[in-house]
Amino acid sequence: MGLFDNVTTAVADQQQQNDYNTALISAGVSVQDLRAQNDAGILTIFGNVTDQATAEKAVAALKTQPGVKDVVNLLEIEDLTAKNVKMKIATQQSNLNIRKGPGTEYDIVGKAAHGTSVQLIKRMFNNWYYIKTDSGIEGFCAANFLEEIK
Amino acid sequence: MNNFKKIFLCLLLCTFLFACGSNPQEALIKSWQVNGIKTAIDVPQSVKNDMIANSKMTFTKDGKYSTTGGIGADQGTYTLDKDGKNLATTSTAGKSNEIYVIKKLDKDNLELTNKGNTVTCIAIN
Repeated sequence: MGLFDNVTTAVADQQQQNDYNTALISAGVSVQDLRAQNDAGILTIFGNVTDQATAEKAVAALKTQPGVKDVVNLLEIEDLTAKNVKMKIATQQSNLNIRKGPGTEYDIVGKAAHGTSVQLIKRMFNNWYYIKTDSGIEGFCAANFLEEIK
Repeated sequence: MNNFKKIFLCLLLCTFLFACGSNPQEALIKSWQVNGIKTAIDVPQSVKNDMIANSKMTFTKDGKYSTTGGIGADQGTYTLDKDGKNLATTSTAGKSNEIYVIKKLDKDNLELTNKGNTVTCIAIN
């Protein structure tokens, strides 16, 4: 700590961000607006990619970086907030699990009932969506459990 | 000889008065509003603005300092070297030490550098 510790921290974070960008460029990967948070070696990455292959290359490149044990991939393909797209939960009968990240390996943060509608907020790199339910729960769910509202 | 003595005393008095007027310790003891940040590498202006927002440093006569706002909240003790060129701090949190180079210090302005980053401040009171 000191007189302006946050300045020192911001510069160190920026330097790390620059290093990650350099690693991606070296790997021939382009991630728009890359943001990375390293928490005890678990690197969570945000940003925009064009497709799943690019996202997976980005993860592979960043896993080789010093101080990175694992990467949580929260890269997205499109921000859908402004489009206000609504879709219906298309499970057979049961509720749909809403998860903390775009994959079944992430914890469940809530459930959306069969037949209810959700708003699509982001299309993720791997055919999952970041959604918001009518009851206000936000999280991730797989695209194949959603269908258009007719 | 008498004139020489008078001139010498005059010069001595002037030096003394000048030294009193620019005493770095006295100039430092007040509250300072952070108004600029220059970083060692480029950092987005929005990040800098967040750090500048409501950031203050206060140095008191009893050798204590405190900081608040976007630059970080901290408190501890400080020592100024005799030339007023270096400011050493010991934070109460974790007893960590830092040394800041004073690039500018007068009654209205303070400019400190540490690890290649420079913070400029203007006097509040």
